[in-house]
Amino acid sequence: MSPNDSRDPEDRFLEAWKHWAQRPPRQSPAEAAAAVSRRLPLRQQRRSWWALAAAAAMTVTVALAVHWSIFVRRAAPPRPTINLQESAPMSKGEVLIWLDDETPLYMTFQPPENGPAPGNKS
Amino acid sequence: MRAQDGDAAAFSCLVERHWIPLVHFARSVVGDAEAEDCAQDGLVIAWSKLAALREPGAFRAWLLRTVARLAFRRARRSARYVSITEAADTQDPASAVGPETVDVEAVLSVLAPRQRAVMHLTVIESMSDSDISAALGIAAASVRSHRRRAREMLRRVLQPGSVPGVKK
Repeated sequence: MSPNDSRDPEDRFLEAWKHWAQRPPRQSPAEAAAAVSRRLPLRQQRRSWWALAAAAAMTVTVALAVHWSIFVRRAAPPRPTINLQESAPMSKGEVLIWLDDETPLYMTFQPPENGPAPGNKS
Repeated sequence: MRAQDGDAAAFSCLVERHWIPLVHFARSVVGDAEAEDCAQDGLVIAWSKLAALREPGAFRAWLLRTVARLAFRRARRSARYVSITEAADTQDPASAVGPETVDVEAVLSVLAPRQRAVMHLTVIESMSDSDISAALGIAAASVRSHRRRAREMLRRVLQPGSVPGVKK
C-alpha cells in the first residue's frame, strides 16, 4: 500500500485483509493431515468402548430372549391339533374331529333340505 | 464417501484438501494465533460426527459449519470481540490502517464473530449468499444483515475522525 494510494479506506482494508488471511498456514496440508490422524484413534478408541459395551448388552439381551422363549415354549400347554385324516368315515351331516390323540369332537349338522329349523317361522 | 465408513486414510485426504481454506477462515474469525488449532479441532470434531452427514456432496459446507461453530465459541470465550466504544477507548482501529501497514486483527476486533465469518466468505472466498447461508447455518437474510452491519462498522472505524474518542 503506497502513500499515494487513493482507494477508499474500506477497499484498502479489504485488500489487506485478503493478504493477511490468505497467508499460508504454518502447517502444510500433509502435516495437518498427519496431526489430525494422530488425534483420530483416541476418539475411535473411546467410541470402540461404547461399541463394545453396546455389543455386550445386545448379546445379553438376545441370550435372555432366546432362553425366555424356549422356557415359555416348554411350559406352555400343548396346542390342540386337528387330525382330520384319522377321522373315521361318517354319515351325511356328521363330523368327527380329533383335537388330539385322546379328544374327539363329534358334531352333527341338519341338512337344509329337511325343512326350516325349529323356531324359524318363515 | 469412504471416510464415513471410518476410513481414516480417506479422511486424511479430505483434511489435506480443505486445510488451507479452513485455516484462512479460522484466522479471520479467531485470529492468527488460534487459527490452526481451531481448524484442527474442528476437523477432529468433524471426523467424530461424519456419520451424521447425509449428503456427502455437501461436505465442504458441513465442514465449514463445524469449524465455524467452534470458531464462534472460541472467539466468544477469548472475547476478541470488543464494542466500537471499547475499541475507541483502548486502541485506535483506524490508525491500524497506515500508509504502509494494516493491523488487520485490530480492525477485525470491532466486528462480531459472525460478521467476520460472513465478510470472510464474501470477500475472500467469493461465496454466494446461499452458499454462506448453508455454510454457517443461518438464513440468507441474516447473511445480508451481518454483511451490511459489518460494512457499516468498518466504514465507521476506518474513516479518520468519524468515531468520537478515536485519536488520530
